[in-house]
Amino acid sequence: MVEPLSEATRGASEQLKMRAQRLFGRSLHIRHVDAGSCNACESEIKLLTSPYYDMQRLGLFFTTSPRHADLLLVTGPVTRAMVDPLRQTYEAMPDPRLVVAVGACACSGGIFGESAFTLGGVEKVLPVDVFIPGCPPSPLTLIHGLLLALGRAEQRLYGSIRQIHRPPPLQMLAPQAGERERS
Amino acid sequence: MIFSWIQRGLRTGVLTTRYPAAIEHLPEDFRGRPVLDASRCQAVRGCDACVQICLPGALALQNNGDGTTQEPDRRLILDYGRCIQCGLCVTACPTGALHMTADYELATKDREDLRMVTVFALPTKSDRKENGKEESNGRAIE
Repeated sequence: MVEPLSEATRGASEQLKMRAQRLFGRSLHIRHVDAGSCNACESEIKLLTSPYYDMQRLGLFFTTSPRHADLLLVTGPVTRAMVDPLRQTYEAMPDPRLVVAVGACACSGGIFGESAFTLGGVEKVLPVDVFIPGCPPSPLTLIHGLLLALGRAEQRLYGSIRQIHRPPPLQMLAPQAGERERS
Repeated sequence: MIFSWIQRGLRTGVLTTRYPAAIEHLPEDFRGRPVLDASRCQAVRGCDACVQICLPGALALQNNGDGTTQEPDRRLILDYGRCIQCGLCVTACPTGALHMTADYELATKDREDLRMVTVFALPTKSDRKENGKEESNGRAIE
């Protein structure tokens, strides 16, 4: 499990990450691990090497060994059986290394959620750098996520946007079946 | 044989997407992500059609504040990290407040960035007095 970091360590790790992004800028080797995925994400990841999306033009390559990999691409909700192989793959990778969670399952557990057999997300096992949502994410989303991990793309989605809307005055509200009002 | 392939290549041209350099235009009916139009949402009036139909539990309603120390509000939480982009919430919404967009640049560096929280202020007791209609038959919320 990932231990909580102190403030100074976190600052240093951010600087290291920036340096790593600059190092990886033009060429990156990816190791893909299926941690209990339904293979929909795999079918989209496979399309990245097709002539239409052609990720080699961006300097992204798949590799078969974690020893040669800079980035770990994880799909699936992380089943109990895949926890140890996933951690071993991560430990076998040379520093600096990036982890990208692909699909709704890897981001949050998805339709599997947290159960007796699944942990519910890669975050529970490894420190995740980039989350790529979608079920499955389209190849364009995958390219955007990989380039975001390298600092070559900009993040478009920023959450926790809070809008407060005043409800209209009560007279204007027509009575509605099933309406629940606070008394 | 070779000549026919060269001919074909010249005829078709380059098909590879120019994505990070140029914007890729996806078809209108591409289901990218659901977006909430908060001005049309009826969550304040107790509507939870989208929450009921959502399969992975990406949509959730939360009631906050008891009206004593904090103003009561109702929050609609839309979690793109759980969303499977099936579009059922769009069909379920009675007012058409949800619609699917063709966005595909959805990757984020933080898990919290995938969570969209919309806060709706509920009418307080003082609001009701101002309107001259004190709710007498108000049912208690579960």
